Amino acid sequence: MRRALERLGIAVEEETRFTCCPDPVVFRSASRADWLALAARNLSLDGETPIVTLCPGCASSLSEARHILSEDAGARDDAAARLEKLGLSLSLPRVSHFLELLSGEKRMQEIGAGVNRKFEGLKVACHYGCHLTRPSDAVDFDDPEKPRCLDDLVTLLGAESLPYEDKYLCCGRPSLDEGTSAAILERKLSAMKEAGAQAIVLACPFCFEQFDVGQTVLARKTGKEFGLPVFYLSQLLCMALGAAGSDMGLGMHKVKTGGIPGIE
Amino acid sequence: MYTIGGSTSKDIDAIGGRELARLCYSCGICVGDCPAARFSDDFNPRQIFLKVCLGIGEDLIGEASPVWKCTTCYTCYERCPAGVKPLDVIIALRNLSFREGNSPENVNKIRRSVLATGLAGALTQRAVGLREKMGLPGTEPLDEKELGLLTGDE
Repeated sequence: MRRALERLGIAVEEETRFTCCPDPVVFRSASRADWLALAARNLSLDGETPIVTLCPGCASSLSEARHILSEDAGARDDAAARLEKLGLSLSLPRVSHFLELLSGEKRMQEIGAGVNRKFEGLKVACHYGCHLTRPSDAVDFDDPEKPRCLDDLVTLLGAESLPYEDKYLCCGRPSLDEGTSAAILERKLSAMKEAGAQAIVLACPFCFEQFDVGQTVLARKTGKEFGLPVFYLSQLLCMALGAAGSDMGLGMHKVKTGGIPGIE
Repeated sequence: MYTIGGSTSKDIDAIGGRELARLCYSCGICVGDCPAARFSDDFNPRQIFLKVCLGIGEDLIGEASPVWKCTTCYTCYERCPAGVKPLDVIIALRNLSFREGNSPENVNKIRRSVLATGLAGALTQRAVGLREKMGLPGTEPLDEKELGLLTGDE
């Protein structure tokens, strides 16, 4: 993400004091109050400087906390009192997933102008992580029912984004029940394969883990091989803008990425 | 006022349920496209909210509660016409379940890690090495004492 943004002239500075956002699924399930307190601190580290994240879960979690702290005076006073013990005052900056920085007509034109390698002939299934656009009253990005930012970007990079059944279905990863999670994953992979996809494109670390690692676990347990490599949007974008595939960490993927059009 | 196990509607409201479960008129839109309802046998959001309102939801905060099957996809939250924010009610039920000591081990593990180190999972040596190789700075999250000041019910 950092390299893709740098190539587009967007400066990003790493905030090394962040704790876990905390995650909107597991940590919040133990204590919503502690989730809100930790999120309030992360929001308040750099005043009103906008925050950009690699993960939709982080952006959604921090945006929802920001929304709650803006609307609910009681929650805001409580958070401010907790932060005071650490010598911080409450700030509520805008939080965005990096895809938001890549969308919009002007930015799309800049990306299009910078592309020197296209993924012609590559048929992909785009998967939108649920937290990328939801809860929409707090996240306020793209369409929460039918988002299109990923489709627009992969199309701009020369690949073909295929329609497939259950395209907007969750990947299943956040369910804390293994059986439910695996059943959803199998449904998604089957639908992608049936549509003729050669690869999956997404922009969420947890969806990535589900589709990449989960796919190999599913194959081991059920014998069903889907052979669908998974790409983070930023990997394809960097390669399209001129970065070498060998710099993109493709060797760390569980599902091998060789033999895919445009990927060396 | 309704009760759920040893807790009451007030406990759910305080966690963020905000009297929401009571707004439910059982239309079922939360069930239609719910991934957990579709891919498991015993997760039904409409039934869960009805049980909460009727005060017969003790099993919802018990050891085998279906509430942990929810994928937190927010589809119900986006579509509920009564403004229930169903996911907030599910999170409140999970918080009560945690207080009763009935949450899955993974929840307890991640909570312990975040409250001790600030991170859900400690960075492995390999991850630290990879960050260095990529030119990324080290991390300096909060220590346990500072985390203690920030969290807890006081």
